[in-house]
Amino acid sequence: MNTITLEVNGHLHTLAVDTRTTLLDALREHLGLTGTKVGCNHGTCGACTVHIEGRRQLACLTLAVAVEGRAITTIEGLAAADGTPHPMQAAFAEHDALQCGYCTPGQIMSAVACVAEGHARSDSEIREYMSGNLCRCGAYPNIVAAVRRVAEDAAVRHVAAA
Amino acid sequence: MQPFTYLRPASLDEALHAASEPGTSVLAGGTTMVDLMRGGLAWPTRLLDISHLPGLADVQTDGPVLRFGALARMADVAENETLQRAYPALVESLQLAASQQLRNAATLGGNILQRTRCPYFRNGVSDCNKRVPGSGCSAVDGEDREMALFGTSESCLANYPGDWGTALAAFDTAVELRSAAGLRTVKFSEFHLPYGEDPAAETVLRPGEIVTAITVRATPAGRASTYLKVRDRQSYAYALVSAAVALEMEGDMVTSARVSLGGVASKPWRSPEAEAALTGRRLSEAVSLEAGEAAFKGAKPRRQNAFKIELGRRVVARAALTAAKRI
Amino acid sequence: MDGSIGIPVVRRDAAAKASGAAQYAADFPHAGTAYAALVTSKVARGRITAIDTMAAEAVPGVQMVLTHHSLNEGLGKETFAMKGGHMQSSFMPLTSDEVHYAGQIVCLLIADTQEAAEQAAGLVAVEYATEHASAAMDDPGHEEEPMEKKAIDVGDALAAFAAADVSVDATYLTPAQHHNPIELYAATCAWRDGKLLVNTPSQWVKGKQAALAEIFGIPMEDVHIESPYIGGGFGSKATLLAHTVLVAMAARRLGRPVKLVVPREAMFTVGSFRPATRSRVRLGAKKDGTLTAVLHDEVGQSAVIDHVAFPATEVTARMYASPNIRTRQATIATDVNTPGFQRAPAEAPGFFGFESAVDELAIKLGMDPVELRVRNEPERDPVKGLAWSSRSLVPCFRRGAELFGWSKRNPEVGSMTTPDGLLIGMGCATATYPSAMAPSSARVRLSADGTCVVYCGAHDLGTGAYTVLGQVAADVLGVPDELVRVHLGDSTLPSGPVAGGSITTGSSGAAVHMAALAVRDRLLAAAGDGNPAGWSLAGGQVIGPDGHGRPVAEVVGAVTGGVIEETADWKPDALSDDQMRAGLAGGMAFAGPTTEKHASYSFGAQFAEVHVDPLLRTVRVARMVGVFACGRIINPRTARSNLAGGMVWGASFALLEESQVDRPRARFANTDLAGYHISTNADIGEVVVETIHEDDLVVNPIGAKAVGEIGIVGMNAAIANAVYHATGTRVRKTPILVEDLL
Repeated sequence: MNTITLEVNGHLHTLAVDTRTTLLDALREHLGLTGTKVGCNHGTCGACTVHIEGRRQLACLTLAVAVEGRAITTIEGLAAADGTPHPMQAAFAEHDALQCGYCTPGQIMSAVACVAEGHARSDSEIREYMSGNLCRCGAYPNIVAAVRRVAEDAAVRHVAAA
Repeated sequence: MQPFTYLRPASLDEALHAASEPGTSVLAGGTTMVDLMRGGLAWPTRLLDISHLPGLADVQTDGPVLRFGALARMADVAENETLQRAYPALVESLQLAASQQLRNAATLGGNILQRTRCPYFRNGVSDCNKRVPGSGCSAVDGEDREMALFGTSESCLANYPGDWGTALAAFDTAVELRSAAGLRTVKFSEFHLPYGEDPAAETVLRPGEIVTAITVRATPAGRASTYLKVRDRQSYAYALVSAAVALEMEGDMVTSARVSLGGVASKPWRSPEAEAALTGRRLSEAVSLEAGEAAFKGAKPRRQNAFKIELGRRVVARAALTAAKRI
Repeated sequence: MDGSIGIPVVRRDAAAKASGAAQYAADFPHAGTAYAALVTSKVARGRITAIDTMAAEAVPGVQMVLTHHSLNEGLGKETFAMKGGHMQSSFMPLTSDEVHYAGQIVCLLIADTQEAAEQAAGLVAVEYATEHASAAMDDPGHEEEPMEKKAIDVGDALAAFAAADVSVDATYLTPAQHHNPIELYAATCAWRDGKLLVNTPSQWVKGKQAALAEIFGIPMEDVHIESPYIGGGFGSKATLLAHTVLVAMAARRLGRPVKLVVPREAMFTVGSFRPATRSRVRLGAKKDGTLTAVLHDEVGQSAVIDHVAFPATEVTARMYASPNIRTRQATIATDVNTPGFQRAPAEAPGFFGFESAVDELAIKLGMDPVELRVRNEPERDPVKGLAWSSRSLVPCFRRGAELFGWSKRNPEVGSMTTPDGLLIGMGCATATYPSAMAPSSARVRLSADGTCVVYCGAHDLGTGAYTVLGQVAADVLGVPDELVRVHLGDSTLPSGPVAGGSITTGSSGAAVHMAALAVRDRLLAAAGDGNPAGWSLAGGQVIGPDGHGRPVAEVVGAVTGGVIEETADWKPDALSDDQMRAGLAGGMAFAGPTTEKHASYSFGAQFAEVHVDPLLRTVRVARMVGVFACGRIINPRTARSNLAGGMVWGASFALLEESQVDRPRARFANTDLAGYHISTNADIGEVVVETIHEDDLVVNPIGAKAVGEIGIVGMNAAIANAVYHATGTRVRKTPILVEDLL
């Protein structure tokens, strides 16, 4: 067992983990942050997408010991401090961009990053850059609509600020 | 996954020293290594995390030699504007690989060490000479649609799955390997081993060595290049057939051609046959298809994968025509 | 009524799902949990001759190793769902040394940590005496087992086919497929005071409760299945899977909760799958397109351990008007885990061949494929002459053609291209799905705080049941939607039916409706001091005979206890009271789609546009349009998503999905999500869905027909037909791969 300190959603957590413990299992089984989902454990579905230092990555292929000292954001850390949902969370609800909801946290974490990366400039670019998140219910058209909406709103804010 | 000690060296020197201990494997982006360990396909007793080491992620894209630090991330290099302009084949090979989440973690050095997706290797139970030497190759009488056409033997039919490695093979590429004993540089064409008696041996990487950089000799052919990948679905899938083509031309005359193939060989596969079929010719659809045909002359098809010869012919042809448009 | 029905209310569970707060089976924490891992068999048939667990037991933290030697426990009798039980299979792993299929559980390991359990699993050494096995129904040596009871004969179809002006005779193949919900199978079992709590994703909490009670010999009320959210089911999570029993047993022996999350590769063999099919379709017609003969012979893959069949011919026989109809159904037993329900189990594979054949006939006739279908629209069910409870297929085609722009289609093969030179193909197909019904209970509670709560042991797999069932109650009681709460997916709730066969909205919706009406009656009675005459509900007010209104909450507040609560048991008319009771106790009790008087089906028209690279022959689905008639749509937002999701499944079926079989070893080969391809976002272009309103109060009191599965039906054929239109190549199997078009 190794004692490590993880920074998750702005909070420091000290926990004892096996070196083999993935970030996914550390979040879910040790910290009770079960919003991040397990879908394959092989990097083939995207359900475990989190942000590490602001970049979207897969928690299932990340060892917990390897991300000590790196800021991790999960779906639970996306809403504003007062609980107001992130615009992407609101857009997913409004556009019905989810059905069973299981891939949804990963989709939303990916979508937030997709917009921030500048990869949401067209529907085809959104489709391609959201393809690392499988949705078995087939909510893809609505996911594209939700991401597009947030990207457009961000662009409008950008122009307004300028 | 078997237990291991996790090590986080403070410097490259410290890392190289630690790497020389038997049972040590290197962890960078983790997208390959952690998956192999979970699948029982790698079982290091010491895991050496080099992901944070400074200086190893630098990328230089001007000058006579392009230099990619081994820890540069696929996603970052795909955004490199110089590369996008001067070496579209390299950028496209990164953009068409895996998913953005994986590209954000995966490193260029780790990527060339990617191992086959052969289901018999991955599933942990089937007979597989790569996983359990001497156990046999289940693909020989099994599912072979995704198996290789080149560089195979009766002891292994597995495919090299990488896109970046395939694109690199079209250029004059070298790999810098460091160990406690010092630096050696290996031509990329000699980095991966063809399958012989021992399919478990895939690269010339020695115990204790770490990939620290990949270099590519600058060439004007980079500009007129493309990486074309055909797969079963539109994204997030391995290549059925892919090809990188880079051309130098005078008018419509090809003066120099570089062609490499993916999804069809045991290692990143350069095709001098296709290059010869293009060089000195006026590029046309017919010539491009001839080049495609030449590329697959020596292919050894199995029961289900013979279609890759015809598909590959067309992929090479389309890639050549696309590259030529970028002159 | 305030008309909550028909309003596109935002999914009631959207916020919980988007925030990560929604708890799925593996998300429930239990103090002291031990973790389980599986070892599955390498071989497909034979016996375990030796199993060495010493090294595994030596791994620090390992608590228990269960094999067929150590299980050694008398289990209560519980059987296969298709034999009246609740299990996915009649075969229970670890009860003998027999191996019946590759990937069968041969050992279960429990440890203090997930890591230790997985490590130990890797150290178990198993030896087998292997026997020849076959996991593919077209392997040599198999014999068809006819299902004589399923034969349908109307007129003399063979003679009519032989005499037809124009005919088609072709055979179509669909492969084995796996559900692959993104949520893995999981089970956490905890015993307390002899009672069993199970967190497992469930499309049938009552069925699993009944099964586990039987197996462990305890009263049903001592088993609690908790499954408020299911991360995709598609049929895979309806029946009880054997590993849940093993985990429960391990938890009882260890005296602590045990959690198993099934690895993706084991998902292919510890549950069910969609079996392969082969359909021979023969159609005969007059020169004007009038059908004279419809013949469909279907063979489905079954298992040696359990006979399983999903006959599509019962549905295809009723599709078009024809005086002569002949269908035959057969199975072939293979050495595989027992196949099961997968979204439109019969219809999705069966309609691929049937609707491809209709397209082939249209081409032979030189007729527009939409017009051919319209020409043969039956006024009554062509098999038994029953009246349709509602059938709006022709309006679906008319509206679909309009939305799609079908009139712009040039029927000549390969005649249409995109500006960048891709071949355009346009195809269409019919969709249908039976509207069966099952008994359901529901409880509705109206409180003085204005809230309305619905309790029902039904399930929301992402289908929208949380939203829709609340709307049904809100509609009756005039409660604003934000004051409605819905509880589902728990065996302690009033019994709901299995979430299968697209029956939830109709069946549980009818029960909620019935309970809500009972609440309303009591509310009006309370307002009128026992006499409801002249009292009515409107705008959140109880209106008296004098036209004066009192807020609902105020009336409820004046009632003793401050709540009005009613439970209702609803059953379809065709079922007896005994059948209802059996159904509500966890049995399978279905009525329909045909009853003595009526045939009830949802119908739809599917349209697809594909783009094919003229050189590389790669296919992309650019556009899908589906127009469906499913009775009354309670919530257009969730219904459209459900239907669109089905269409995405259809695209995936047509171009991607196949569980490849490693024939020499009789194993599924591509057992991960990198090898088993389901659609990514980039695979799906524009998707347009509309519904056509129908008033069908025959089917149930709220007029809701099947929605959940029809979306997939026919889309595979529409895409294959579009591929033909683009390329001139008729691919009579799925998935349609690049090599089929080179």
